[in-house]
Amino acid sequence: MERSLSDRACIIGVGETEFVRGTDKSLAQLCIEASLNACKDAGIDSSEIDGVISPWKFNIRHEEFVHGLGMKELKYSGRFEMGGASYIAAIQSAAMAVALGVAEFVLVSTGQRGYSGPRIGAGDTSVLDLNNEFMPNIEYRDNLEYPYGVSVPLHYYSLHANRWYHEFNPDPTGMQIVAMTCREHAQLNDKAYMKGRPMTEKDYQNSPLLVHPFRLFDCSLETDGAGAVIVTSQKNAHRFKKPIYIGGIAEGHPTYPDDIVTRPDIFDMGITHAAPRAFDMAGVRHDDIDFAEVYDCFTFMVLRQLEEMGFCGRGEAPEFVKGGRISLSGQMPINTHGGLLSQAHICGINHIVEAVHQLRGEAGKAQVKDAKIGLVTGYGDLSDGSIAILHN
Amino acid sequence: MVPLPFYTINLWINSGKEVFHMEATEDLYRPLPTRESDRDWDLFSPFWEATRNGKLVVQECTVTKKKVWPPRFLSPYSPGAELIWVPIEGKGEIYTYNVVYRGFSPYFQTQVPFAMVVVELEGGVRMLGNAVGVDPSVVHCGMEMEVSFEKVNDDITLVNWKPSERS
Repeated sequence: MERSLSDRACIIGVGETEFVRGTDKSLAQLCIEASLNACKDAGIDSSEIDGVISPWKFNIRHEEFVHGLGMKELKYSGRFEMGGASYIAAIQSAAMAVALGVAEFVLVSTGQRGYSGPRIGAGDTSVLDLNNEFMPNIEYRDNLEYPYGVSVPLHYYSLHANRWYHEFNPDPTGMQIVAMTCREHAQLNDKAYMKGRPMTEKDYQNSPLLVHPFRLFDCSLETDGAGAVIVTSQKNAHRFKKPIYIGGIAEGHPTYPDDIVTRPDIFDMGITHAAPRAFDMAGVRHDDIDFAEVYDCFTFMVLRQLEEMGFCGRGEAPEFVKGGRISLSGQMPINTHGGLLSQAHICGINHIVEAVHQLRGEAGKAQVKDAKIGLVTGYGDLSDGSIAILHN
Repeated sequence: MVPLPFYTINLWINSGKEVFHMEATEDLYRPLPTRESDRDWDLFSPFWEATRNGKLVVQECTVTKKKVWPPRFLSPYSPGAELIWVPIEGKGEIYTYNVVYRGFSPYFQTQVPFAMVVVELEGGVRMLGNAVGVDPSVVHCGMEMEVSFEKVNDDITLVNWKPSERS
């Protein structure tokens, strides 16, 4: 395969807000705050940004960024509708734009008011209708799912999970290992919402079963916050101290994209298709990966993505994550900042921010020694996927 | 933001469209298929007409003769090929399932625990519904099920699944 986009773009700035439960700020304010932090991190004036992609979340648009950043000229804008896979798809698009010279500095920013906005955890059912409105194939959802109670990701993904348990008889402790590993890593991260709130095996097992097989602690956090990254071309890289290169990047969609349970192969996911392309583009193999930030809306999805990326076979991820392999001192640490499960759920963009910190050697207590190649994934909607392989 | 009650949001989202919902007050919040009269197309009506008459139908591709589910406008197996509705036997095994212990909307909060089951019918059709007539905690993949129609109102009869008498 022609390595068309490999190393032709790099990330030169990353920024975040605080991660909290309770904010008066709008999503636009949070995203602009994170974006200004990213500009400061990169050492560029925010007026230099000439491209903006705000993936997924529906209540912020590029116009807000033009005002918030004092942009002189917006040359490129876009949106992505792939749920939690959107942010890497957006970075891929940003990389294409800068590599071709359509724009010089493309900002990708997203976040959510996961606690202060409408939320299911607080019994606000309006979010159910909103979820339904933003899923693909609304008529199908309205007619054949909603009347039977299918309304939130827990419902969709548990149907995938129970077939997986049936077909492969995997070790049921796999999900617990992912939950506890993320929580351990959060203890090392000052920004993590769950810092200072460690989780024992007993805590996990005592957390309520919401939808079999998912317990409360298999679910990501409801937090407020935003993140931003700035992408520029390889030709601009020399202006910046520690550019992090995009070695390989891809989005992928399952062959039957708008439904999980009627998909002929229920285990087929977007990342099944995206991962081989990203590895080829980057010219690396699985054992070259020093660490991975794996999209963790649910513990189960971490296991399935590891399998579909080819780190192990289907049903084998619980064995793969055993014995400390994914802990900080292990062969392939995952979610070194705590992930969506224990740092914050800001639509995944904190995964890219952490990967950049790791590759710059700025990850503090959670620094992976000699980190050179990092992998980041996105997962969303009805199994859409995305993957980036970054290096320093 | 002032939290709006569920039905207000429903009304807001569906404003301008004629929506058929339950009339009985105690079931007001039960989500039902929206039958919108202002659409030029009518993808799901043949299905709900059939269930109203105690029959189960799915689509079939007129070129490949493969069963098509969920309903589509055109065949996913032969681009552009038309689809027809055909009867299908309401019997099969559970392909996958879940058991819901925490309901998220007012109606389903009164229903927990309940199971969603996906039953695999002839031709690989997988149809979702709720499990009835069985303790949700014993529902498992491979269980033999048969269709159980639930008349909700004059317009809508939902499709649920009960353990087959054979099993």
